[in-house]
This record gives sequence, C-alpha cells and structure tokens, in this order.
Amino acid sequence: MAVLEVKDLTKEYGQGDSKVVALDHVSFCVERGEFVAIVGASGSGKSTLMNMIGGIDNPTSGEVIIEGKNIGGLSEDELAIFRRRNLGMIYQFYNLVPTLTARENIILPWRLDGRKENGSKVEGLLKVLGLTERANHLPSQMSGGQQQRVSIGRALVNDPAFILADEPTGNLDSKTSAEIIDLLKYTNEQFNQTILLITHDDKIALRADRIITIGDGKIIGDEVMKA
Amino acid sequence: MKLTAELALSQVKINSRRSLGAIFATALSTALMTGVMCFVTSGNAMLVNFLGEDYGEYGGAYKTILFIPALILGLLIAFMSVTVISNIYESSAGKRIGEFGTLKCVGATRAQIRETVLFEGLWIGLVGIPLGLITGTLLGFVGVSIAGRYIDSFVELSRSIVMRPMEVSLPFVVSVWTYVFAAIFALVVVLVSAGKPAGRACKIKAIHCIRGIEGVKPVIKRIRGNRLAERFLGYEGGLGYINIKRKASAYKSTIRALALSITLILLLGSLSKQAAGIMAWMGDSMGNDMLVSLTSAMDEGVNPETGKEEIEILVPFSYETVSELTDKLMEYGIPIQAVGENRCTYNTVYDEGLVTDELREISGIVDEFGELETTVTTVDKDFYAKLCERAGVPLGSNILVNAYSYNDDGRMKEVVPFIEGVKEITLIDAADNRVDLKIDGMLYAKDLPENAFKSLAGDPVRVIVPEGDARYVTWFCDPADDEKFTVFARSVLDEKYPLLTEDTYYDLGYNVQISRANQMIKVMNIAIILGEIILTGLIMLILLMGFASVISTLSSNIRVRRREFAVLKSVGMTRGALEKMLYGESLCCIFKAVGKGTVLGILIPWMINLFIRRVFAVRYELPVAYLAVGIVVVALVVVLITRVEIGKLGKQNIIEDIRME
Repeated sequence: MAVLEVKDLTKEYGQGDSKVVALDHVSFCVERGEFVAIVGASGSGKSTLMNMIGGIDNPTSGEVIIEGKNIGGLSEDELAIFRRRNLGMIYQFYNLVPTLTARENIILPWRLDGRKENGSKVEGLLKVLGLTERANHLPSQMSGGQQQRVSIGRALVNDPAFILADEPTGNLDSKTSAEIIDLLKYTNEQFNQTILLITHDDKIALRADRIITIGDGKIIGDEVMKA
Repeated sequence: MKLTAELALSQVKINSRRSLGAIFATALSTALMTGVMCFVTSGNAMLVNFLGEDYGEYGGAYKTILFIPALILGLLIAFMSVTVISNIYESSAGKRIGEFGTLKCVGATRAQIRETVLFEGLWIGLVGIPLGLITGTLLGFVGVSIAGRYIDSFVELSRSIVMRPMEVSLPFVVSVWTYVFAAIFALVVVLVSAGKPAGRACKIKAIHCIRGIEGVKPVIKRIRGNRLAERFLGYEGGLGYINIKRKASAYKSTIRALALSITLILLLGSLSKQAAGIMAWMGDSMGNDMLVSLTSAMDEGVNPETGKEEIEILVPFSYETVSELTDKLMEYGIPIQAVGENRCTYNTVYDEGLVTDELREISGIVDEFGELETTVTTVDKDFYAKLCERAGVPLGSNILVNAYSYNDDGRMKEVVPFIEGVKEITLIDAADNRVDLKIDGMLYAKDLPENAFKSLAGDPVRVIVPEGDARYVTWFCDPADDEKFTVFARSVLDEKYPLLTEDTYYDLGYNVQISRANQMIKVMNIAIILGEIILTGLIMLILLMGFASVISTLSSNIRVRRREFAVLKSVGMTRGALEKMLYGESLCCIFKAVGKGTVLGILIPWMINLFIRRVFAVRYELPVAYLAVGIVVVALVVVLITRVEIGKLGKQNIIEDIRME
C-alpha cells in the first residue's frame, strides 16, 4: 500500500481575472521507503504542494491520502494531532521554538501528545544527528546546519509515515547542505524512512531515488533514478 | 510541568523586559483593587462601630454609599487594567506567531496554542498578583490613614457644631476576604486580558504563521500623504504618516492608551474644577456669619383625602419662644437677627395673573396640584421693624419677598416672581384648607444685601408675617470671640432645648447647631475633598499603568521593525531621515491620541456635570491647563521612547537585520 496518495489535487488563489492556479490536478503516489525529490522553478507550486500534503493548507479540490486516511475530511485539531503522530516536517528556516533547547525541540511532538520521553531514543537520535554536545543549547546558540539537524531530529522522533522537507538546504552553505542531505539519505537507507524532499537544486535532487518535476502547478516529469 | 506552561514560562524569562512591564501592570491593577477593598473593609468597620451591625435603620443607604463607589471604581480599574494588560499580551502573542506556526506544524491543537498564551498570563500573575496584594495593602494603609485624618477633623468639627459627642473613626482593617476578592479580581483581569489574544492566536492558520503574514496586515487602500507632516519633517515625515495609516492596527493599542491618558487627565481636571465650583457656590450662598440654629424634627406623611404630602412639625417653635430666646441671646451685647421658617405647612395657590413671565418660564415651578412651594417666615421684632421700613409698610404688615434665586441648569438665576401691586395670595395646606393672605408690601433682592436678609431670597413664595410658628430658626450674628459666644449661646439654648448625649435627634424632637457658616461648609466639603484626593490618587496610578503600556507597545513596535529599517537603510535612507520618519510617526500617534482623548475627556465630565448641575449651580468648564499638561506629558512620553529606541537602532547591523526573519 502507498504511504502517500495525491489525487487530482488543485489549489487556486483569487477569483475571476486575478485567479491563479498554483496546483493543477496533480496526482502521484509514494511507496514506503522511497526518497522522492520534488523539483521545479520558483513559483512552480512546490511549496503549495507540500503545504497541502502536510495538511496546513486546504486544497480547492482533490485528495491527500496518508496511509489510507483521507486527511481532507479532518478538522483543524484532528489534522494537528494527525500531523504530530504521522508526519515529520522540515523547513528552510528550521522553524524551531526559540525558547526550547535542541533536545526539547526534538521531543516537542511527544510533549504535545502528552507522551513520556523515551530517553534512549532521544540519545540515539542526538548521536546520529551529531548533536550530543549541543543537546542543551538554544537555537540561537547553534549554527544553521545544527539547527536544521535539530529540525530533522524533531521530524524523525515519532517514526513518521514520511518526512516532508521543504528546501531544507536553502539557507545553508554547500558543505552543510551536503551534510544535511547525507543525513536524510542515511535515515532513508538505515530506517527505511520515506522522504519527500522539495528543492530547486538539481544536484541535491539527484541524490533522491525518484524526481518529480513540477512546472506551472502541473507534474511535467516523474523519473525513477534508481530501481 | 505541562509543555504549554513550560513554553509560556520560557517566554516570560526570555522577554524579561516585556514580562516586567506585564508584572508591573498586573501588580498595579491588583494593588488598586486591594486598595479599594481596604477602603471598603475599613469603611465597613467604621460604620459597624458607629451604627451597629447592619448599619442600623439607615443600613441600605450606608451600604449604597460604601459599595456603589467601590463598584464603580472596581469597574473603572477593571476596564483600564484589561485595556492595558491585554495590550501587553497582544504584543507578546504577535511576536510569537512564528512559534505558534511551528507548534501547529508539529501538531499542536488550538487548545494547546490558547493554553500557552493563557499560561503566560498565569506565570505573570503568579508574581504580579502577590506583589500587587502587598503594594495594595500599603496603598490602602496610606489612603485609609489620610481619609482617617479627614474623618477625625470631620468629627472634631461636627462635635463643635452639634455639641454632641460623636465617636466615629476610620480604622485600617483588612480581612482574608480583602485579599481573596482582590486576588480573584486580578486573576480574572489577567485571564480576560490574555484570553483575547489567546483566542486570536489559536485561530491563526499554520500556513499563515509559517509565511508570517498573520501579523499586521497593511491597509491596501490608497492613502494620501500628509502635507503638514511633509512640511515640517520632509518626505520622511510624510512616509511616517503613511506608515501609521497603513499599519493602523499595530499602533491601535498605543494610541488607545495615550488617548485614555489624555481622557483621564481631562477627567481629573474637570472633576477638580467642578468640586471647586461646588465648594465656592456653597460658600457664596451661605456667607460667614455665626449661626445658631434650632431645628424641629418632622413627620412626613400623605393626606389620605387629598393625596398631598403632609408634614407635621414635631416641636414647633412659637413666636414667643423665639422672641424669648432672641432677647436672651441679645444679652451677649452684639446685634443678632432671628429668622424663623416654616416651609412645611403651606403652599401658595398658583394664579397666573399674579406672577411674572420669568416665573412662568421656570419648568417644574408649579407642582401637580397647581401650587407653589411657600415659606412663611417670622423674624425678631427689630429685624421685622427694619424689613417693614425697607418695604415701606407699617408694623403688623405681611411682606412678600419678591426675589427668587434658583439653580437654572448649573447657573444661579435671580427672578422677580410676582408682578407689581399684588395685594393678596391664597395659601393652602395639605388638607386643602385655604387662607387668603393680605400682602401689604414687597421686598426685592436689592433690599436684602446682608446675610440674614439674603437668606430670605431662596423660595418662589416667601412671606414675612408678624408672628407665626417655625420649624427652623436661625440666629445670625458676628461675635468677636466665637468660642465665648458659643458657650454663651449653648447655655441660653440649653435652658429650653438641652441636648442629652444619649438621645438622638429624633428622640429629642429637635436639634441645636452653633457654628460659623464656613465651618458647616467645611464639614460638607470634607466628603468632596476626600473624594477628590482618592480620585486623584487612583487616576495617577491608572495613568502609570497606561504609560507602562505605552512604553511597552511603542518600543516593541519599533523593535519589531528592525528589518524594515535595515531595508530602508540599504536603499540609502540616512540615519537622520530614519529619525525624521519615526518622529513623524510619533507625531501622528500624538495627534490621533489627543484628538480621541480630548473628545472623550470632554464628553465624560460634561455628562457627569449634567447630573451635578441639577443640584449645584456649577457648569462644565474645559480645564485648559490640564489639557495642556496632558498633551505635553503624552508628547514627552512618546518622543522620549522614540528617542531611546532610535538610539538603540544606532547599533544596528544592516546585513544581519535584513537576514532576520
């Protein structure tokens, strides 16, 4: 069964002459363990697609089905709970809570869910992320690469159905970018973690197993890089 | 600890300056309410000691006197506190939008977002409320002590006037309920203040938080520049004006707090002016003679046959008694004039043919039975002789005082009620018995210059008859030694009307007061002065709270725009030009606040005056000096804060700030 099914997804902004179609009847599936890169030029609809899949924006029409569940029918709170249990999201600007330490940011989805901290799992994650020394630092005390690693840790902590990463290297230098992609690749290979990576960087996209190309809100290419 | 509480606590710690502002405002609000509660519990203790449990027979009235002002003050404090404190939480929630977006993206529900804002309020309250309770107790102690001194001097004066021991004192009393009530009030204020931004924060969509577009949405409409701002501050001043217009909601709370400050300053000025007006009016209407007064208690009822109010004078003072007392008082060796009044027995049948147009125009002057209020007056024989002489009539005549001064909607107006040549008026009592009274002569206002004479000009119909019973007798004189005369007068009155300390006014059926008129006014004014002091203190403290809010919102408004300033600098705006723009914005804030605040500051006391002028001849006057002070203070606060924040911008790193998100 596909982890993610996107069916006929359309998003329109505005009305009449000022109507803009950001996504135009987009459909695709992602299987468990796939590392999919979604590429496209600026304004092609990549981020809109991510927001629809992540359930933080509503489509004009179409469906997003995650592990067999159509998220279109969920209320805002149901979506929030669904997100913290089933999805991991990574953003270009990290979006960490500035008042929480690295460790606290990583376990945020657990805390929101009222669950107890699994100490050994967090320690393991911090080790994989190379953040053991920085566990008690605030985001403002860390470099961009370190903050993005915290963001990856937060996305991984719940063993999500898949990780959505929106331009995770967009704010980083090339060396750090490579480290972040390596980390994502590692989680994909090591833990069979499904990853949807949105990028405009072809070099980064080439590290994925499959590349979906979006242009003017439509899928204009869907290429499997590795069988 | 709950995550939402933890997040809120870290916000409180990190934004220490804003938190201190919120703690200060919360503590001040709690302190004000604790202070008011101290007054209520202390006032209650004073009345229980003085009147007994349930405040005796006037319990309802006293409870109203104590609790209604407390309720009004409480509501005023609550309104101001919520306005000021919610500004702080509003600003805090505004800054946390990105954080809310992150929380929503990682799965926080609406309830959790609301909780984290509310918890911020609760953490602030945890420090602010106890601090406020302590400060409020000190405030209450100082306030009650000051009020206590006034009560003591009131008692002292009353003793000297009434000649009866009065044991009233205002002790400082607090109870557990003082604190419980004040703490609950403060908690409600905090929750309501944080509740509004919390409700708004939880409704923000995650997508908007992530994009950072749920902050201040600029107004899209076309806005014309302001020539005045451009003329004085150049293009940058005009830019500041447009900024204010386009980001009106960001400055709303600052302008509201500033406008409220102007309103409060004007309210204070207007009420002080009106209080001074009331005191001056009282003084003017009473002169400053030594007054010895004898008053009979009365029994009010309704005549079953006519339905008219019927008043029985319980101890009427006959002409002979008054003459005898006057003769004895005259033995002191100074001129004394006695005026006995009876306004309880008769009214005058209204005859349109006898009255002037001036009287006819006074609304409500004729009652539902077609009658005019009437005072039948008797005076001592020497005074009577003088009055007859002035009226040009022989002794034994009835004289109509053809002068009526009244409060015409806040202004004293003197009219001549009757036409020339009135020869007879018809008096009528509650049982509809009529008495035709021959009028032999008239006295006008110009004939009544002295205090004792002046006192005769206060009724629509006043007739001076040679002899008659009185309910109220006043002897006017001006002794050189007040104390000596008081002892003498006391001994004269004691022979016939002794004051027995254990009996009340109603048990005895009469009361005796001896004092200078201004002493009596002082006693009456004590309540006004006390009220003014308490009101001034409270308004000052509420103003402090308002300025705390202005400092917090205005400085954070400038700070959150560092990126915008960096962008402006990067396209070539000089530091001087940036300053001009910010000062332009400040000026716009000041103008807007002064406009709104002045309208409210005039409207509210003017409306209060509508009630005051019904009783006292005092009209609303614009307190120009207070308005000027208000504008200067508000302008200074705004310009100073802007200056301080501009100083901080000097250390700005353009690149870092442009990158800032």
